[in-house]
Amino acid sequence: MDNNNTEKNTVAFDPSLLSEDQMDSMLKNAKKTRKKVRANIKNNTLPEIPKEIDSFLSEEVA
Amino acid sequence: MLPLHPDCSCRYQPFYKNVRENPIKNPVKSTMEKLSLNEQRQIVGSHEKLQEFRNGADIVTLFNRVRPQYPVGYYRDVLGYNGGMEKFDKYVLLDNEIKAIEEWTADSDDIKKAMWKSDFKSYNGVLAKSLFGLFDKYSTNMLIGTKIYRGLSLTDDEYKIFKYDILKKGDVYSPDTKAIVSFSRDKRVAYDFAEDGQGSNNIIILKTLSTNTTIDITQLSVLEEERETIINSNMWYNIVNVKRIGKWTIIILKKTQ
Repeated sequence: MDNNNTEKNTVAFDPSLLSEDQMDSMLKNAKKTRKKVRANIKNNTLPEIPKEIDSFLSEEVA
Repeated sequence: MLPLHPDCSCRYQPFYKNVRENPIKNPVKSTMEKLSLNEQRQIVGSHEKLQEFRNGADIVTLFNRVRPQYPVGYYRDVLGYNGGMEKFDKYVLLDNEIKAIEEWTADSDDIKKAMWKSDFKSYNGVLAKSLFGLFDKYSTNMLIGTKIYRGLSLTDDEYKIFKYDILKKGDVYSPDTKAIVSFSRDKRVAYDFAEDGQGSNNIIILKTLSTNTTIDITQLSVLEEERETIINSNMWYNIVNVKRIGKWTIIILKKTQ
């Protein structure tokens, strides 16, 4: 699944690649998500991170 | 390092051991409670002063009454802010900076759009400018090397536009070339931002370590438990690892030198 191409890419979230509509859509979605997450935080219902993901996140950045 | 005594060459040396991820609510009280009664008395000078401390007196004031020739002070009062252990808002930030942070945490969308469009004249653009100014004016208010996380969810189109489908270990990456980016010190918060996002399949978590340009805005946030930290725009990282698990893309980043 992981990309084996050895050429080094420069990858960036560059909003200038977005149209005005795409920008608005992303921001609107972000607003909805934030609302849900904040409700989960307030209600103490944040989901548990699955073990496979959590173990990868626990790796040291070094 | 700061001098320890006014007339000798002693220096304070920071010593970090088992750094906690979660802040202690009242570090002075918590530390004192770990000591014996006799040790507590020795620190403040007498049983009477210990009683004053327990009644709410400021320990620095008590300490300085006992040893006036060697006054101590809070780190925040000497350096302006305190390494992430307490509020730094009222000590150093200007009103417009506090307002900008508060509005960012309440609803960052309009401010983010102003950043994306480099519009610094509108109301939100002025707030954006104040936020950018924080990075020029202040260094970090948290321990460098603190783990921070960001969760996001993208549509298939967005995933491809920004090349998340091809990024790999060794690539160079910027979370946003135009806007300030929010992270959290709590990975569960980041995970939920990704999991509850509106994107279809492509869910991403970024993990990295804070640097001298990472600012913890928890204390001014509308929801402190979000544990929000911000990084400046156009910050570049090396991708040290990428894992794709089903709909998930997990990316470990390390700041470029």
